[in-house]
Amino acid sequence: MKKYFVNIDNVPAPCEINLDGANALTCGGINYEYEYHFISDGLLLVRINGKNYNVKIEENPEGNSEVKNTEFKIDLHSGSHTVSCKNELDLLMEKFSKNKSDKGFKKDLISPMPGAVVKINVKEGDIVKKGDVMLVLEAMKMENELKAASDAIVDKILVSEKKSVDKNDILIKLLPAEIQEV
Amino acid sequence: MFRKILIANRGEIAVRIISTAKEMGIKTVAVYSDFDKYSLYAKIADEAYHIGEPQASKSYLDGERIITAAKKSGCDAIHPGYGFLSEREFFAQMCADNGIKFIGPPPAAIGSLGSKTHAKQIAVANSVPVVPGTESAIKDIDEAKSISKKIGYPVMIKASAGGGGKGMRVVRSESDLESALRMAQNEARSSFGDDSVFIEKYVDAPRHIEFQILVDEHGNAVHLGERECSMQRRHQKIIEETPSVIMDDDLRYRMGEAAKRMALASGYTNAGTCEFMVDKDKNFYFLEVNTRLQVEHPITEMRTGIDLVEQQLRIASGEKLSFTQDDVKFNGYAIECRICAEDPDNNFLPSTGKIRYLSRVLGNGMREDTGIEQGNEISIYYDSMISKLIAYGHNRKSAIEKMKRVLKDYKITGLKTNTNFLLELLGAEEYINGEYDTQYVERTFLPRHLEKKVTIDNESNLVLALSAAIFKEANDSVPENEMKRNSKKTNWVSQRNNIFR
Repeated sequence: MKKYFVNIDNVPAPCEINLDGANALTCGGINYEYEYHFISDGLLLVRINGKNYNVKIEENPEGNSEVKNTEFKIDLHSGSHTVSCKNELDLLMEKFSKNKSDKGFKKDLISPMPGAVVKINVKEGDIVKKGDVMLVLEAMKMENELKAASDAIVDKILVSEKKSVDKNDILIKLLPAEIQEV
Repeated sequence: MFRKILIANRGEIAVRIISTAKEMGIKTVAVYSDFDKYSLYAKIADEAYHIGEPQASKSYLDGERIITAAKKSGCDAIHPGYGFLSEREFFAQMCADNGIKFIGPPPAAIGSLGSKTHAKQIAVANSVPVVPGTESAIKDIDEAKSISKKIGYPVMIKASAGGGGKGMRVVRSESDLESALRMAQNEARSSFGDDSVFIEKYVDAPRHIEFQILVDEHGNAVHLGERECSMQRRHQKIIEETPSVIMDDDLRYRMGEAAKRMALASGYTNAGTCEFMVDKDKNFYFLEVNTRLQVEHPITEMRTGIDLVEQQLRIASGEKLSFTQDDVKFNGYAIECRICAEDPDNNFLPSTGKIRYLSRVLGNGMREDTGIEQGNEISIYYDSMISKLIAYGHNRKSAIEKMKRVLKDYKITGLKTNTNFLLELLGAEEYINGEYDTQYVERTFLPRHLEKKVTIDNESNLVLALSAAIFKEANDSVPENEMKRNSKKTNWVSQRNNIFR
């Protein structure tokens, strides 16, 4: 029997999932029959007691757990949810992994798509506030403003204006804003 | 009638034009960039010619290469679609100079209407109401500042050659003017190859209502009713519908006549769209004439039963309109939603990538115009629209319900789309009541959407928890040495594991 502890949108789910083998699960003491089918990468058909559910699922790129493969983004009934799902091993690993002090801090400004840098609004050493426009990227004929996800200090700028960048390229390296105050 | 036409465009609109031409027994010629070699439209056309590199400036915006392909194919006419060269006077002229019929208005009409400043002068001269603003392109920031001061903020900067929201910026104070001007000019240059912009008074919270017109080469003009396009974000239309909930017979008559006056006064022929802003008191102001087929033209086709591409081809080949204004009958209710590759949860950033899976259920009353197939890639080179869904119902409610049904079962993997966002919009109280304007999405809907707390019932809790457990287990069962570097690979590996299990 496999046991999973689940948080949905940061609230503990009222059920621990126990997968009992082939097609049975228990949740909150109730037994269900289920089956599933991967329609495509990240597109899952789940059938619980004969009822169909189509869900879209991926590992949550914004998840901040130290343990891999425990945080997911799931679309159900046209609503999007963040779900964390951990088994006993994950919980153990989490206990031993050291606490990060810069919790929730997004380290670098990453390019979300291929494009060209139109304008850089910051210079190295600048302090930026959450929501400040740091860089303007042109892609698909539109100019897109890339904003700071949290307060930070500009550590290093790795691109220059007019430069083409790829998806997931690091554009600007950032440091947590607190360091400055020390 | 033409024997063979070339479509100087790509994607869904090329598919759309080819389809009607085929039904009329006209041979079709596609042109393609390296990127589109095996795109749907290039496969279904009778002939297809390579015209260059993926960058539009080196293919679809290069008039010379298109004319060369046209000559090679021996076509009689070129349909420009929308975007690219469709509203470029020089291209219409190039076609004429090479003895090829341009399926659209004469070059001079594109020139005078395509420049919004000229268009405004024509409107004023023909008692079509306009909003105050500049009469010629802005030369520099100083001129922009003095003009904006004179007409009063907020002002709007607009690309002279623009459309589709590109090269447009609203400016609410002088401190924002310079950067907005630069951005508008940059966008205008990269999208239209022309960076001239002008400034006008910004009417707060107007509706955007446009009229479809058809004008033959014998001086006959009809309008095919309005399209309500107020559901916009950053001036990009999201949902269009016809009829507009605010329209009445008198207003429709007055706006329709104004649209026809604009066309006839400018020597316009073929299909066109006259755009208006309508304020809260139902005053309307002329905005611009789009001298081409619109993205949202299908809703008009559904409601009138008139094939606009067929009419374009008939008009361009010299035929008279076969019907009068009185013959045009309006039936039912049509809505269009644009499915785009973008991430509504991340500031609508365009999402690029390969469509790994695509499935939808259309059914009664649904039309889909698309040029995309499973396995295709949405790239940075072209716009992010994947598909247009057009729902037709006997009333507004039935059309909305059809649209919601299809969106719910519209499945795409490989990139992010706005289908959930569209569903949420269609379910919003203001949309259902028809109480929205061009600023509704940004002013009311998006802030609420971001704040929204989703409540989850026990059933959903169970489904979400189980789905996560299934997905996790599939990922965990991947052997260590095949451990993924990115989620795409993992998913693929896990899927394969599933198959072998």
